[in-house]
This record gives sequence, structure tokens and C-alpha cells, in this order.
Amino acid sequence: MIVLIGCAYTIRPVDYAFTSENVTEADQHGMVIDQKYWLKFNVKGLMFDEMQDSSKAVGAEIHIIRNSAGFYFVTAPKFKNVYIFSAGENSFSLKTKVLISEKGLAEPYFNYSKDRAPYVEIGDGKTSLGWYSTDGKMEGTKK
Amino acid sequence: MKKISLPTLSMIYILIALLALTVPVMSQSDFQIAKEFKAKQDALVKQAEGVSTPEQAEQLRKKVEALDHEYAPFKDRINNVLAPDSYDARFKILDERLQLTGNWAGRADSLAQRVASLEVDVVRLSAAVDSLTESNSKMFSEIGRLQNELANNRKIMDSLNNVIKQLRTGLAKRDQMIFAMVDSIFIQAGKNVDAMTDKEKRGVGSKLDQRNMFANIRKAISENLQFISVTALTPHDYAALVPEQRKFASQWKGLGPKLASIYLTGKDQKKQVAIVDTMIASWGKQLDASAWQSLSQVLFKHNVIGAPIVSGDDFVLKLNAYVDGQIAIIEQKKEGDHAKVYSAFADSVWAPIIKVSWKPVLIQCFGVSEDQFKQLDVKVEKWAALALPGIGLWLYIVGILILGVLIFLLLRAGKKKAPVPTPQSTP
Repeated sequence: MIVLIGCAYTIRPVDYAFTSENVTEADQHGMVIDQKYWLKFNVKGLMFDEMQDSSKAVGAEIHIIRNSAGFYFVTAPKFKNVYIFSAGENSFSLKTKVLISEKGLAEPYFNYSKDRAPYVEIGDGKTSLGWYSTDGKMEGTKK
Repeated sequence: MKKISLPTLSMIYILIALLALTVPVMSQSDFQIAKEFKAKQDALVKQAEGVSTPEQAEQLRKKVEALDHEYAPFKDRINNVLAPDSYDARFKILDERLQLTGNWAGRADSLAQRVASLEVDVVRLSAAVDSLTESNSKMFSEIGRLQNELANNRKIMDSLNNVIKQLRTGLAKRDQMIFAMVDSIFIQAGKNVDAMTDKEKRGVGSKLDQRNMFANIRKAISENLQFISVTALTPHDYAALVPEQRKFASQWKGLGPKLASIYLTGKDQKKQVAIVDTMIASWGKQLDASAWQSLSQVLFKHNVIGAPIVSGDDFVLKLNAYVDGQIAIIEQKKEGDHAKVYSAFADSVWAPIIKVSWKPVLIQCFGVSEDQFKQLDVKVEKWAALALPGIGLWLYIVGILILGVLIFLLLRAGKKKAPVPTPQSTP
């Protein structure tokens, strides 16, 4: 029996992936409450950053997915960017912001595939815009 | 044929490659696909709840197959979104629901056939009720005519008895047919009255009205009452008529709450229910009264009772009082021909009238118990022993003699069978 009291150790590998994106409307306080994955965060700051108007957070349709490495990809319709966050203690820290469309995304979506992990597919409407890494680099399109 | 130069070919390849990079790849959100799938599937589950015929169940099954065909290529992607639920689990639920509704639809179909056959039954029973009512009426007239002509005429007497017998059978048959008809109408509705909508209740009520249910029941009761009043009933008749009346009353009692619910707002029908209640009660009372009157007349004629019997307990009380009285007369050594009184009672009342004719009906219909009859028997025997002492002594002597002979025979037989000692062998 191995006793690990007081020892720092690491468990590997861990797959953090959400097997699909989740789409949730922000409430009147700009809070996104994801019932499936028990995730709750405020998007007012994100809205201000993206649209210079935090009030647009109310009722906004927020798309979110976590890749297998544990990073959160967040976007919404009319967003030009996809935000990639790492999770901290009661916080999201922006790892990178990926410019996807100058005009803004109309119907954004994220897809997951265990064959493409840790990449996440970013798409708009019925068009795949590519599979993106945590660093925001496109690794090619879906076959 | 003109050859394409190598630089030109290279240019074509580069163009194709560029085109491949610029043409967007068709894809779709897994979340959106799963959402659409879920919505379509939920709609089918809802449709399954409304299925009422096997044809509808079959149509729905085809739609389910089409949904499966449409979304099977996205099964893994849908599973990713639906987890921990799954594509297959959702189809399983739908299949089960379909199977259930399909079975129900099958049952509903057979129920519809049953309803149709019950409708035929109702029409047939209704016609039979009408025809029996008509022939019963004729028999009542016939009884009246024969009674008028009756003057110690054996032939007419036989005819009269025969008509009475037929009438009694006809009345009983018609009573049962009325209830069979009413039952059929309720069964046709296919559910309990409590579960019926107001519209369904109105439908049943209208069918009952159409078949003159109340009129038929009233007619049945009044003819049964008429039968009691126009015919001289025997204990054997009461043994048949009392259970028939009790059965009728019990069937009506079972029907009462159903009718009250069917005719929730119909004041006239509620009044009819009350009228029938009263008529049935009166029929029962009249039948009982007729039976007690008939028995009382016989016992009064033989001086066994001084006042009419009104119930089973009253019968037991009065008979006990009579026998006790006779025993007391003997024990107090009062003057009188005790043997004659006893014989008159035993030979003309107790054995032929009470024990043979009335005992079965008194036990079966009027609550007199077997034990009460046994106690009466014991008393009557005691009365016999006191009223007929000579016979008692004679029986005692004969008994002693028979016992003596038996003992003598047994002893003699024992002596004959005694073992003979065998000589012992010497070594």
C-alpha cells in the first residue's frame, strides 16, 4: 500500500473534454449557468471586450466547450473572436484570443472529436472553420 | 494531340490546391444536430400517446424508422451531446412507447368489435324484454280467465298451474334480460363510470333512455307484485321467488351509484331512481308478508299460533312457545288427550308442513337457522316422550330384550372360538 500523505504527485493523463459544446443563454445579470457541467460564470466583461457594451450580455447565447487539456473555448454570435481560457481558482484566465471573423460569427459552434483531441472544431452555420489548438492555431480542416 | 507543358501542369495543380484550401468544408454543430434530433424524437413520443388504431401505430413506426435512418450517421456526435443519455436509449424508449400504444391500439380495435357485438346484444335483449313483457301480460289475462272458470275442475286447475309456472319463468327471465341489457350498455362504454367524461355519460344515459330502462324495470317490479297477489304461492314458489327478488334488488343496488353518476344533472331520472328504490322495497316486503301470511294460515288452522307470524325469529319464538306450552300442560298433569294433540301436531303440521315444505325456504330465505330447528326437534321429541309414555316404556323393554339377546349371542360365539391347547412335543 502506498501512503501519499504530504507528498505532491500528479495524475496523468486526465481528459477534461466536454464531449460537445453547450449553448446557454446568459441571465439578466449576465451569468451563464451551465446545468450539464455545473459551470457558472459572468460574461459581462467578455461582452464589453468584444462589443464594447456589457449590457448586451443579457440573453446572449454563449457557446462553450472544454478541450481534453482542460481549456475553455468561449464565443457567441456576432463575436469576432473565440476566447480560450484556462481555469484557475474561481477564475478564468485568458490564454489566447483567436480572431475568427472580421464581420463577426453568425451562428458559431464548437465540435469535439476524440480522434482530434485536444483540438476543437470551430464553425459558423454549416461551415467548418477548422480545428484549433489551445494556442489558437488552426491545425487543418475536418476530413 | 497537343502535349501540355510541365510548367502548365504545375500551374493547374497549384490552382486545384488553392481551390481546395479556399472552399469551405461543410459541417454542422453537433449540439444543433442533437437538438434537432431530440426535438423530432420528442414529437414522435408525443404522437405515440395519441395513437388509437393499429394503422396509426404502423404509420408512426415508419416515421420512427425514417428518423433513425436520418440521424444514424450522426449517432456518435449525438451521443457526445446527449451523454449520459444516448441515441440508442432514446430509441429504446420510443420503441417501448410504440409497442405499448400499438398493443393498446390493438386492444382498442378489439374493444370496438366487442362494442359492436354488444350493440347487437342490446338490441336482441331489448326485443326479448318486449316480447316477454307481452307474453307475460297475456299469461296474467289467462290466469284471470282460468280462475273465473275454476270450479273444482281438475283440467282447468292443471292449466292454471301450468300458466302460473310459465309466467313465473317468464318473469324471472325478463328480469334478468333487463339487467343484461343495462350491463351491455355500460360495458359498451368501455370504462368505469367514474372515468367517463360528461359527454360519454350523456351518451350512456341516452342509450338507457332509448331502451326504456326505467319503464322496463318499473314494469318488471309491478308484474312481480301482481304475480304475488293473483297466485296462491306454495313454499316451493317462495323458495324461488324470494332469491329472485333479492337478486333483483342487489343488481339494482349495484346499478344505483352508476345511474346517479350518469344522470348527474337529470332531475327526472333521479326521481325515477327513487321510485324504483321504493318499488323494490315494497316488492320485498310484499313477498315476505305473503310468505308469512301463507304459513300463518296453516299454523292458525291447526291452533299452533294465535297471531300471525311476521318474521323468522317470530316463527321460532311462536313454535317454541307452542311446544313449551304443550309440555307444560303434561308436566302439570292437566286433563286432556295429550297423545292426540301431539299426534295431530306431529303428523299434520310438524313433519309434513314445517319440516318438509317450509324448513328449506325458512332457512334459505328468512334467516331461520338449522340449530333453531334442531332445538325445536329436541323439544318436540321431549313432548313425544311425555305425551306418549306407553310407547316409551314399551320401547324401553324391547331395547333391554334386544340387548340381552345380543350379549348372549356374543358370549356363545366367544366360547366356540376358544383355542384348544396343543400337546407339547417331548424332546
